[in-house]
Amino acid sequence: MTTYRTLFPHEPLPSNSALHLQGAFTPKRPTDARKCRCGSPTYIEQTVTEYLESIMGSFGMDASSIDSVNAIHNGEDVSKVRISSSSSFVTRQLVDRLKRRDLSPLGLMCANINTTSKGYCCRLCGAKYGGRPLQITHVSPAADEDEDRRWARAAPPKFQRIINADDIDERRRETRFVYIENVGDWNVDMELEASSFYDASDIKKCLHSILLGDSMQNSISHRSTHKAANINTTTASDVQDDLRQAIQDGIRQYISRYDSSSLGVELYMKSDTSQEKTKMAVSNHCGVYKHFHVGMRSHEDAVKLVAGLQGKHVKIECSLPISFLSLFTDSDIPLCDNTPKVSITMSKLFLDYADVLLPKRIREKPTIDPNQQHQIPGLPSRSECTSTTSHINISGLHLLPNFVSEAEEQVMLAVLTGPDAPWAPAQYTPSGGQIKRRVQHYGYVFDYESADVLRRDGLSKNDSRCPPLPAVDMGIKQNGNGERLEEWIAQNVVERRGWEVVAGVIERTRRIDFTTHFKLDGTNNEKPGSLNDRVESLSLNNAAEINNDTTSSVNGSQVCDTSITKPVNESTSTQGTYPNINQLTINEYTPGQGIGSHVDTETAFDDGLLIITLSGGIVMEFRKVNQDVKKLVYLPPRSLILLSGEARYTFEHMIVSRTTDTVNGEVIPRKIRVSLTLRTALTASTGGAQATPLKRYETTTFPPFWSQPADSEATLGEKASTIDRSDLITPSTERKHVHAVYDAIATQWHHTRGKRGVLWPGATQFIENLPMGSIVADVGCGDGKYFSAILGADSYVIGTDISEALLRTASSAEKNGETMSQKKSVEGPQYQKLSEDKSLLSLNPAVAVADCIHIPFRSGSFDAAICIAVMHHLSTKGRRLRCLSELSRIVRVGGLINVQAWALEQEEDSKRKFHGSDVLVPFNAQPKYLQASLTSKSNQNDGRTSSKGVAQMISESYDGADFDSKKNLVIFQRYCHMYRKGELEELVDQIPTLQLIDSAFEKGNHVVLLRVSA
Amino acid sequence: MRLLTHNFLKSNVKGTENGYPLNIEATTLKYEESPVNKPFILNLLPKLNYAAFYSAVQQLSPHCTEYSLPEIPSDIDTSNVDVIDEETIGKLHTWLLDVYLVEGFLVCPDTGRKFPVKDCIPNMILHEDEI
Repeated sequence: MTTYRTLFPHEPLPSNSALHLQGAFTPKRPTDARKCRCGSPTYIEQTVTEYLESIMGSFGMDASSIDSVNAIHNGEDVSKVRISSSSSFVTRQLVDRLKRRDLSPLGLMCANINTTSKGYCCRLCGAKYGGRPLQITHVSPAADEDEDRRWARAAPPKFQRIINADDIDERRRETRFVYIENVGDWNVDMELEASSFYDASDIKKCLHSILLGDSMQNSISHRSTHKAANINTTTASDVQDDLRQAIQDGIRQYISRYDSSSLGVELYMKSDTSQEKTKMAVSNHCGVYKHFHVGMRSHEDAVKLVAGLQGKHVKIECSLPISFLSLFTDSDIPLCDNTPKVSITMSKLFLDYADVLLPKRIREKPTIDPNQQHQIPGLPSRSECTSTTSHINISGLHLLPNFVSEAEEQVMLAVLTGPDAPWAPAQYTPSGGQIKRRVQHYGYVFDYESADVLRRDGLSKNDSRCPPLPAVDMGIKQNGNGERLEEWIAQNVVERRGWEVVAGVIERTRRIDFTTHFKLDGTNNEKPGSLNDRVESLSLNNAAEINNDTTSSVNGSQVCDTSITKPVNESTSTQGTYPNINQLTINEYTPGQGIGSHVDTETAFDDGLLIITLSGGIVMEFRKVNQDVKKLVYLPPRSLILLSGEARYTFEHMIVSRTTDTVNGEVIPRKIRVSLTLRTALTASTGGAQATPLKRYETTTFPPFWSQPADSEATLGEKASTIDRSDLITPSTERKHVHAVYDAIATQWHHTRGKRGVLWPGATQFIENLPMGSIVADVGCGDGKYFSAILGADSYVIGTDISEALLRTASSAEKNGETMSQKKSVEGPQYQKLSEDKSLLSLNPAVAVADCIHIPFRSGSFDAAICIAVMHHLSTKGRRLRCLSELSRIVRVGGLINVQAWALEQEEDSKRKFHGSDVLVPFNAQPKYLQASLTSKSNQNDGRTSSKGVAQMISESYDGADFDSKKNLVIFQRYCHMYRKGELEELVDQIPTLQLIDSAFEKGNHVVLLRVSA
Repeated sequence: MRLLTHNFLKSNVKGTENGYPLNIEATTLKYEESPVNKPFILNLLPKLNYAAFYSAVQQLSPHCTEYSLPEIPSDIDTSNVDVIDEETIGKLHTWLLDVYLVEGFLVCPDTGRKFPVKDCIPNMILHEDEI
């Protein structure tokens, strides 16, 4: 006999689904009088079969959709019944319907199935007596439970995003659970067929308001039908449950495409109590299905899921539950297999790894092992932040320790440094790629080249350059009450919604009134907790007092008394509050990184720089401009520092590059410090007009995205499921720093590089191993330096490149008298086997101008492809994926692909050193080569222009090129993405049809060898 | 651009079903004789879409009368290349490798989009609204 187990709400329904009805199927007569109160002894008595028939009948069930019905006898009574169906849809509908009905068997038998009373029924008077209600659950054969794949049993375990564990990386690498957020920001795009039973537009409207957070009752109550008018709280909540179940099924079905096992995925969605529902709806102005957890069957699947859906709009389909539909009609809707489906588009999803909650682990605070930390190489602290430099008085400098709580810090760091944090220059900054540390800008981009803020004048919405500033909801924003804000932050901390917390902390910063924390005349006027309990104010005259106070050992690390600062100048311009903050820059300082001495650009930012330090503390140095005054201030983790007045305008501030700080004699190893600099960007002050704060550019939709919203994924093919449409259009970075550069330097490139025939090593071997007669695609062939090697291997090559100018050098090269025979003599034995007829092929190489994102070849037509030194010019992950996916498309199943790209990790002796993944690599162009390209580009050159003039002309005509007048060179900047170890492999892993055969690191390049699988 | 290259090219314009084979509008053609490499051609044939090749040859033939080029069979069993005689191989070689489209257009069969060919180089770049 097969045993069955109950299915949990988070499990998918097996295809061979069964239901279990449990309850008193055999009717029992009332025991007391054995008579109905009308005196009649005649009760309804029916067999189990009859019961079931009436159950089925009452729901309009089609007998053919039921595979079997088994009654389980307990003595003479039948207490359990199992109904099996091969369609999980049918069983789900059954559950749905049974829940709506009177669940006692007798009640069901009574003709009036809408009755709400339960019990025994008298034939004569119809009086009903009490009875045990039926319970109904989904069951599954218990057989398939093997140890590794066992479903988490019992009640769904508690989940959390992995954000604050000390072994965070390790757990992220292992977990099979994923956290998905933003599900609730629906973009309800409904397709619903009209039906004779209800009005589709009516349903749409109602569903729309429910999804966006209105309560079921409100949404329904004004509907015209009898049922809708009489909906009560209980029914509403039942219907809501069904609706959630339906949406959950839709989401599960969508996600199952990432499921490589056949077991389905687990979906844990918090069941929302009505209280929570209201709270969430009110606080977020959005639907109730805010976030949930997914259990994939393996970590690999989880990785694919995160990568695949990150930032995507997802369109799910759900079958609307009967209970919901029936509210719109007074007639009974028959059960059939094609209940109306609705497709709903979810907003951009945010995904992160999650794990089963282990409270102990979470609570453990990371401990610093001083011995280990000391092994980090680096300069010892040269200047100490000690009491000997105490009593620093910098007017306008204020420090608030513990401005951010530990819990807030963890949640914020999780999103700000998480897997998809928008580090520049992914968000376009003209020179952002060249600064050593990682930065993110929100609201407005700060351009390090011009040391100015990039105002959005004349920028189209699509070119907004950086994400908007996270903002709190309007309701909270307009409510001046700090408590309301703190409540909101606290709730988001609990629910681990990092962006909301970031927004909340920004708002908190705007509201801090420094005058209530620091009395500006120098006497202590602190009011601890006046704004919120977390903020402890320090003021400088009581430095000694604080040093002896409990606050001196905040967070276990001793606060240097120099951190206590004193506004000395009574005429200080320190304002009380900074309500116009509109720009956020996030810097990540790894141990050893610092920032040069600077004063923030006066014309770019208003008075009041507010810096929040997260993760690791650091000593900041202040030097008075043009004076030999140096003051050190230790910024402890989770503190806020205000630089205003003198501190902002007359002191330069900097962070020394080293790996330790010495504070009051104690050596504190630096940890990664993430700083949030909040500033008020100003309008350009022209013509003496007073500069005013720029308009806030902010969002309440998280994570804050800056690109054009991508089209719904549904419009893209299955294969392109991980690539936004926006990725298909060439970003301006690539146009300016890749395409334009190669077009300009084509001639020199060919003469100084291509002609030398220096081939990347991995490629030569790959080409030599190709079977004779192979058709090879050289995607991004440039000047075709691999052509002769391929033709020499008795294969045919067709090259594509985005730069027509480079392709022309490939075509014209041989005609200029450089025949293959000549080449042979200089290139050595490598090309000896190239026969004369091949040289003819190479005289007229087969090339086409094309983008590697849209390769113009028919699918499966090539035996092999090479893509060398191309992928590092693609500026978004989506484009890199797309390029790989295109390569896999054009090559036949079983064919090989060789991909090579620059590595972030360069060899010791290499000339190339890269400070970040995304960099601009200069190319020094000589005017004599450029002249040709300029002539062919436009006919501006009258032939008499001096070469110097040409160089200048070129540098002027190419946006982003510089002119070095000393050396008479034009310096172009090429955008390159340096691949870290394993990055190419990770990308490959996301293309289902690509199989990694081999990977290597050669001469500063990462090489992967791939095979196309079916 | 040789017809061998043409045989692999397709249009990627948004809305195309196959985008293949591309029709040819020839302005300038070129014929350059080269030695026949039999094993090379035989290796090539199974990978060729012969129908597309044949149709391309038909489109170019009227423009090539001055070279008196041979006619090719309308169908060839590319899976069994061993039975193909030397003469046929020579004919195929001529059309696959020796005839070049120097100037003209490749036309997407689905959308009618014309991809220009200049100096033997087709430009298959899509405009933003074609993506």
